[in-house]
Amino acid sequence: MKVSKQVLTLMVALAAGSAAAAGTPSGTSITNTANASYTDPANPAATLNTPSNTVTTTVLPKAGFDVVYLNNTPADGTTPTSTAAALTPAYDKIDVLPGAVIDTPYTILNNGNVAGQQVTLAADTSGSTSAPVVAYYLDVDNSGTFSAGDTLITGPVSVPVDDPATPADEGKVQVIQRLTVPAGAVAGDKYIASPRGTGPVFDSATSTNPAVQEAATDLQYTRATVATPALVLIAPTVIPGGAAPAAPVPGPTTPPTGAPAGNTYLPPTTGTPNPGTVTVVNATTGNQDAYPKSDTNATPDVVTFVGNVKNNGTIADTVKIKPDLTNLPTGATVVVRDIAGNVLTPDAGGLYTLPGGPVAPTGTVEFQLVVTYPDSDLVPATPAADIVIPVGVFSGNVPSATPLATGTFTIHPPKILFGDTAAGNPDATQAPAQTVIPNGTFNTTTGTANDASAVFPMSVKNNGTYTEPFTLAGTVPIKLLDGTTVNVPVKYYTTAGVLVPGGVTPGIAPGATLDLIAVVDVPNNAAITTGAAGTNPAPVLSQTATGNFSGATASDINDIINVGAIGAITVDKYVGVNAAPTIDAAGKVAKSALPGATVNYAIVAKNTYNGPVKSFILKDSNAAGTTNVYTFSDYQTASVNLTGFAAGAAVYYSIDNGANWTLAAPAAVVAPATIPGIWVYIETDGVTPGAGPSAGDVIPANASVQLNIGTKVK
Amino acid sequence: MTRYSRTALLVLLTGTAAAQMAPAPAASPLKLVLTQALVQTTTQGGKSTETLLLQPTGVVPGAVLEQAVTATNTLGKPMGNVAVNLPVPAGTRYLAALGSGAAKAVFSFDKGKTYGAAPLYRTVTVTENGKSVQKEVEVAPAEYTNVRWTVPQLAAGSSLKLGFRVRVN
Repeated sequence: MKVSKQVLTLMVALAAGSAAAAGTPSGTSITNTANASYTDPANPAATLNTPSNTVTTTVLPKAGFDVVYLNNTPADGTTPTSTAAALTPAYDKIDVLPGAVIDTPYTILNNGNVAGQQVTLAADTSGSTSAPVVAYYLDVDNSGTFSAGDTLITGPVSVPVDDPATPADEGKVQVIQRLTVPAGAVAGDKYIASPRGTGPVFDSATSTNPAVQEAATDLQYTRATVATPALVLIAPTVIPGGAAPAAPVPGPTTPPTGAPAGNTYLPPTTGTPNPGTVTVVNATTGNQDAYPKSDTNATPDVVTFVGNVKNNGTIADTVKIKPDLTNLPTGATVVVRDIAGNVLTPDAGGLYTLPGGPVAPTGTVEFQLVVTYPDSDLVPATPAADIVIPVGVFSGNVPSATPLATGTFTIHPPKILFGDTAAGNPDATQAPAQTVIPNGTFNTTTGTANDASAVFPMSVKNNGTYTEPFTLAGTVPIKLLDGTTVNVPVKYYTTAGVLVPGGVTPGIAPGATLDLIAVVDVPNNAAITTGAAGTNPAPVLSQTATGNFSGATASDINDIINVGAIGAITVDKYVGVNAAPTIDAAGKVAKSALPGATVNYAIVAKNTYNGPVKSFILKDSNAAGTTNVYTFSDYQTASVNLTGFAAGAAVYYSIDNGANWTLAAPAAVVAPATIPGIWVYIETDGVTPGAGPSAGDVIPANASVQLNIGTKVK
Repeated sequence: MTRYSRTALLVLLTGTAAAQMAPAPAASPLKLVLTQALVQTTTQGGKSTETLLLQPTGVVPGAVLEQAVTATNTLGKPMGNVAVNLPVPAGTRYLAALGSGAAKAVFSFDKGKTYGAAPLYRTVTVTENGKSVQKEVEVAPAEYTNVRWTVPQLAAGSSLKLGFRVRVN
């Protein structure tokens, strides 16, 4: 039989395979009737037709369901650790905030032939940091998003059966899964949930439809990852007081010019840094160190830091800061201001929210930290301490118990102690006295007597918080014999006797003491001093030590120099026969005289001390009184020439060994009378005149008394 | 006896066939009995065994039904041009015909309007390179809607056992 291919021309639209797995709805009757035709035996031209019996059977329920992502995109069968690509952004949410509500759409498919397939949904939260709250809603308007009409699912969902006669798939219901991220979630937490259906599923072995739960390999997870904020402290755009000098802090080691250079003392005003404060910023860590200068007042010091926070995270974030004030010294306060200067107030947890709204990724926001503390120069004996204020940075998006980053803001106050070297701290209250003899012998050793250098052990202690060099300077007024006063500068030496140029010490570390010696070389013509009072009271040194960087200053103004006596009373005797003696070497040559001749003597006493001499009596006999010119000659006349005395000085004579004194020169005494000798004293103070020299009757320095005596040889 | 030449394989039936044929009088000499059985397959030790469950009250989608019609000539003399029609019941799809002996089977996929021997083809119009072209595509057996067997003559007293298997959708 030839079989030819018969072509039936039909325009047929092939129906797309609708839920082929669904099958004929349960309860449908399948009936069939056969039919046959045959040639009518009675009439060959006719055909008779006969039907068969009808067979029927009923389609039984063959239940089946699957819960899938909306429109089956992506494919289900994901796990809590599926890649982001496998979940797609629709079901893998990142940068989620605590408390966020994550709504994702799903479809429940009726894969069986049961009308009203019952499916009960439960949330599988495997892989979550902690189980989140999950609820399911009917997506009544099939919008794929939660809308007002969507109702909470509290029991099984009834899914219609597909009608195989239509191309559309009626066998599905759309739902919304709502996952709520806990309000206390922390950075990086994961909250994951999949709807997991339970419902009748056909079991071919038993031909029944027992309840079956979706397999763990057939789930469809939504994953939410809490944002991980990243906030760091960086250098501010503007540093109060300008950028730190390039030289290492603290500053220069050369002596400041002026007193002291680079430090202009101004009282600080609120909100501004201590004038001259240098702030060093570490751009990597965000740490800042301030080195405020010393000032001359006792009002509290103020240092203003400007901090800067950068958002290194992936989403905009509100910045909060919290300064740690637990180690703030007594009396210190901290005020946080925004960059414009407005004071900020903290919340109950001590956090300050920086205004201006959330900061975009890579954006920054600045703030001021104003620290007011008791003046750092008070109580020099107490070592200064750093004021350390750690500032923690917190995320507004994801609160945390500990800060995301911490920058430490430190104030380094200076302090100085200066004075005489003592067992403990340098002691400026001590008032040691050094006695010098202005004899031109200078040295730098302490305790040397009979030299012209006054040497005082001095000490400088750095009671501040950072190493700095100090400049020492001093001066003392020395009265000279000519009545003028010269200001002699103090020189400073190491204890080994090496000169410290300019009085500038090397850097002294915090807590360290540098011992030095202060040396005053008293000039040769210095007048003797007269103790605490008198005509020439002993002068005191005025010494100052100043921090080269900080300008902190301390003084010692009470060390004493006593200028001792140097010199002598010189007495020279000159003789002339029948003439006045010459006051020279020739006058001292022995001469001969005939009886009756006049022998004239001149006795010159000179005060070559560096100060006045008191209780002075010039006698024409030696101390033992054993030589008596009047044995062989008669006293005739006496007179006195004074040089170098003030006006009003009066000469008194005595020819009875000081028992009586007369203003006038005694008259001649002729033999057989004789005198033991002639004494004179000079009355200069007018107190008890003629009673002999009193305490105030002095021979001034460089003054001379010339006693002229005339005698006649017997 | 009328001899009938082989008819063309292609038989066109138009309209309502019932109008051309008079139903047979009651107690038709061609007795038609239709049976239905559920085909159950069990596999034991790698070997599959089939059992037929007659007159199943219920079947699940995917189940295989065997529908068999027995046509018996009780006329007492040969019948000519016997044609047995068995539709593929709604809710099922055609799998395969049972062995039909001398009867030839033709198939329809247009609810019995036209019949032809397998394989059947249809023409579809598709767009290729922007032009409409007509292609012939084979019609899958699952799309058959009717099966017809014909024998030119059925001897008196003899039976034809015909049928097919279908799968419940």
